[in-house]
Amino acid sequence: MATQNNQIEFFEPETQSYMSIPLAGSDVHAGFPSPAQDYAEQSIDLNRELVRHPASTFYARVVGNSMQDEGIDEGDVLVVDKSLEPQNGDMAVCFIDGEFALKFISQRKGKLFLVSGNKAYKDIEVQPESDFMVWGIVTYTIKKRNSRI
Amino acid sequence: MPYGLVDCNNFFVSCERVFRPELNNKPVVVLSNNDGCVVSRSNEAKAMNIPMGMPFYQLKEHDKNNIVTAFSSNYVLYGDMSHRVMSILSNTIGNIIPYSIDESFFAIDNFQQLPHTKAVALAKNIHQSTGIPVSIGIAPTKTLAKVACKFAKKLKGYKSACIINTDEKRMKALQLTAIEDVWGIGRRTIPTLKQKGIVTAADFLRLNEKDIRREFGLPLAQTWKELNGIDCIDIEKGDNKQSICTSRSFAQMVDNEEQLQTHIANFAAQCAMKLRKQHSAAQSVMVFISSNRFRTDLQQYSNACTQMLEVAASNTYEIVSAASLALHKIFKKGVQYKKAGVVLCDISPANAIQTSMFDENQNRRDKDNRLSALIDSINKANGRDTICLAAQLSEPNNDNTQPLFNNNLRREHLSERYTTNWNELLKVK
Repeated sequence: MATQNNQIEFFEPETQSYMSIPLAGSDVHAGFPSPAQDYAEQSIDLNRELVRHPASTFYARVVGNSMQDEGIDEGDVLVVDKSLEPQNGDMAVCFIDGEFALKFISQRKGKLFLVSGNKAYKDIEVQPESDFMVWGIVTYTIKKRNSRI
Repeated sequence: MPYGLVDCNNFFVSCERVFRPELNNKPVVVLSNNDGCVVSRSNEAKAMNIPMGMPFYQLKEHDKNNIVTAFSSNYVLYGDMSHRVMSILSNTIGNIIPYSIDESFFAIDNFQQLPHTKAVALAKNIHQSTGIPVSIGIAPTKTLAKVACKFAKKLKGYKSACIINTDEKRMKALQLTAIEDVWGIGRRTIPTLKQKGIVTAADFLRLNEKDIRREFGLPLAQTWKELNGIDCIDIEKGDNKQSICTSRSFAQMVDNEEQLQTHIANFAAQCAMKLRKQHSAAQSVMVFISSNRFRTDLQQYSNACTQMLEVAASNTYEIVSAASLALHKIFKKGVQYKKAGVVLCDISPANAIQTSMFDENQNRRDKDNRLSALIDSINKANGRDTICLAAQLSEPNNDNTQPLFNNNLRREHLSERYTTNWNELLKVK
C-alpha cells in the first residue's frame, strides 16, 4: 500500500485501530480473533509503533519551554515508558523536589545532572539528599502541526 | 500445581501516588462513592489509627493537624492501572486468574518455575513498569498463597515475595497467622471459633474436617483442606462473572419516579456494557431500591423486582427497557430513596444463547446488538456516555445533557483521569 513520492514514503494509516493502552489483558481472554488480523501487515498501526510496552506506557503533556531547543513546546504530547532503565543521555520525565520535570539525564565524573534543552536553564546536579526519581523514559514526542484539526 | 497471588499494596492509594510522587511516605486515603468513608489507606494513614470504613467527617475530626490527603475514588484510573498490572502478570506467567481489581491468582506447573529470585524480579518489574507496589505469595493452594502474600507484604526481608513450599514452612506460617486473617473465614464464624479456643490458623487445623463440615458447612471445610495443602477452591469459573451489578448511594435522596428511572437507566446501561465486554448475555434483570435506613424519621421502604427476558440479551436497549419496567413495578410514591441498583443474572456466553422457538424478534435483536457494539466503540473513542439512550439523560431539553448520575455523585477530591483522557494527562514542565 506504500506509494513512493520523491523522498517521502506514504503509508496508509491504520485508522480502524481502537487499540488503547494497555491491550494485553483484554487479549488474553478474547474469544473471537478478528478476521481482519490476517491482513494486519498491509496497514500501519501507529499505536503499535509508538507504544512498544502498552502496560508501562503513559502519555504526558508538556508545560513550559524547558525543551524548546529540542523542538518540544508547550502542549506537545510525550510518550513515556516506565519500564525502561534510565541511561546516560536519555530524555526522561523526572520528579525532583516536588515537581515533574522534562530533562536529559547526564552522568559526568560520577555525578548525575539533569539538563534542559533550553540555554536559559542551568543544569541541576542531583544531590544524594534530593527527593529525586526518574519517573519514565521519553520514547516519542508528538507535536501538532496544523491548528485546523 | 502451585498457585501464586499478586496483590497490589494499598491499591487505590498507590494509583493516586503514581501521579503524585510527593505523597510517597505521607498519609493518604481514598474515599468511597460520594466521599462517604475511607476505602483505601496508605501505611502512614494506618499508623495514624485511621480504620477502614471511617466516615469522612470523622476523619476530618481525627486528623486535627490536617496532614492526611484524601481523594475521591477515581475508578476510571484504578481500572486502567489494574489492567496494566494484570497484563504484565499475564505476559510473564500466562495462566492468570483475576480475582478482584487489585488481586490476581496465577497457576504454575511447579515451584521451580518461579523460584524466589524470579518472584522478586516479577514484583520489581510490575512496580517499575506501572508504579504500583505489589506483593507475591506462592503456595500449594490459593488459601495458602493468600497467607504467603500477607507475609510478603508485612516482612521487609521477603523482598515482596514469599513462598510456602514445604510442610515445615506451611505450619510455621499458619502458627503465625491469626484465624481472622485467613481467606474464606467469615466474620460471623470467628466468635464461634474463638470460643473453641482457636486463635491461629494452626489451631483451626486441629479441628476435624467432618466436624467442621457439620457445624459450619462445606465452604469452611474447603478452607480447612486448603490450609492442609489440598487444592479445592475453584474461582476460575468466576472469570466471567455470574452476576454483574451497578449500584449507587445518592448524594441527595430521590423521590420522583422520573429521576429514579434516569438513574436506573444509567445503571442498566453500564451493566450491559460490562456484559458485552466479557462477551456474555444475561437473561434476568433485577432492580433494587431502598430508602435511607439511617433516617428513621422517614418512611422506610425497600424492594426489588426481577424481569426475565425471553432470550438472553446484552444490548443496552433491551436491558434498559427491562430495568425500567421492573422499577415501575416496585416504585412507591412518597418514599425518599437513598440507594438503587441493577443486577444482571443468568449470564451465559454470548455465542451460546438459547433462542426461543417463539422468538419473532431475532431481526430486531440483531440490529440492537449491532447498535450497541457501535455505541461502545464511539464511547470508547470519545469518552464515556458520548452516546447514550435518551432515558439516561435527566431532562432532554435541558442544557444539562450529562447523564444524571455522573453529576449527582459527590466527588470533591477527584484526581485526574491521567491515563484515559487526553485533557487530563500528567503535566510535565
